[in-house]
Amino acid sequence: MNRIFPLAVFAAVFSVVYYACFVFAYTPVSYYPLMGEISSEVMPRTAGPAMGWFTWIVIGSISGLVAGVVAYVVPKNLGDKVGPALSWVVPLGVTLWILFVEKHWFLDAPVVGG
Amino acid sequence: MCVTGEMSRVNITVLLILHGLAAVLLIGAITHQAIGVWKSRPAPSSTFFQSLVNVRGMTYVNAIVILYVLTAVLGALVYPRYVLDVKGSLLDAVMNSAIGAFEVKEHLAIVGLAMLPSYWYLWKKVPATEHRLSRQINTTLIAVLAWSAFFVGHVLNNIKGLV
Repeated sequence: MNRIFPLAVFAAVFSVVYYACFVFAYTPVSYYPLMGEISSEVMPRTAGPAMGWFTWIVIGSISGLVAGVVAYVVPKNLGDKVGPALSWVVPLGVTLWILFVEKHWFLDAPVVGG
Repeated sequence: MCVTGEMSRVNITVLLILHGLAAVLLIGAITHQAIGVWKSRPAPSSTFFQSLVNVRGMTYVNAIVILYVLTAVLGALVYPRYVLDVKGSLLDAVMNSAIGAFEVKEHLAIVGLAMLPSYWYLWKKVPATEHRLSRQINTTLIAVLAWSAFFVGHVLNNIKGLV
């Protein structure tokens, strides 16, 4: 049975879904470190900053896991051809996507005094 | 209340140091492996560089996976404290590049985490003569991701001492 293809699909789907959640601000649950609370509601400013990072990891990893399980049904011949390359092509693409989206931090002039 | 706060600060400091130490070990192992994986054939180890290139990459795999996960978990434990104590200082100082560098670090670290199962499989279950390019690029990409995260973390740790 081919194994590399499901693992490559896991890597691809996990990384894409994780970063897509960030880009599209899909954060059904946030962690409020100042309060030490997890909430699906938007809490007032006094609750401090909200963190979505843990949520995106959970959503991405579960998506990758489900996709990886589904990938087991792909015929071995196809999986063997595509799997090894898929294991790095998509993560490399997501890496470039991250650098592209986040470039504004380094290129935009800082706003001083609002 | 003060005792609790002091304990919390000590715990975060300990976790941050452990996070850094795990990262150093990870960097050492993955750098060795990433250099060695590109060698075309074994060569006599008469020089430092030849010895470096001749490492048996497969013996590093489990350690790298464990160290990567350990470093990520320790990083996740101190991340909320970064958001509360450090990010605000950086925002006040309008240090956008530093904030952005950490944003990139947090995302790239997850890409590397997602790659670990297929990386492990390529090293441990696929014969050395097969899928060489995929093994080489997987290893090199994880090394680059780990180095970038290490560099950003190190610089931010230094900045926090100045802000």
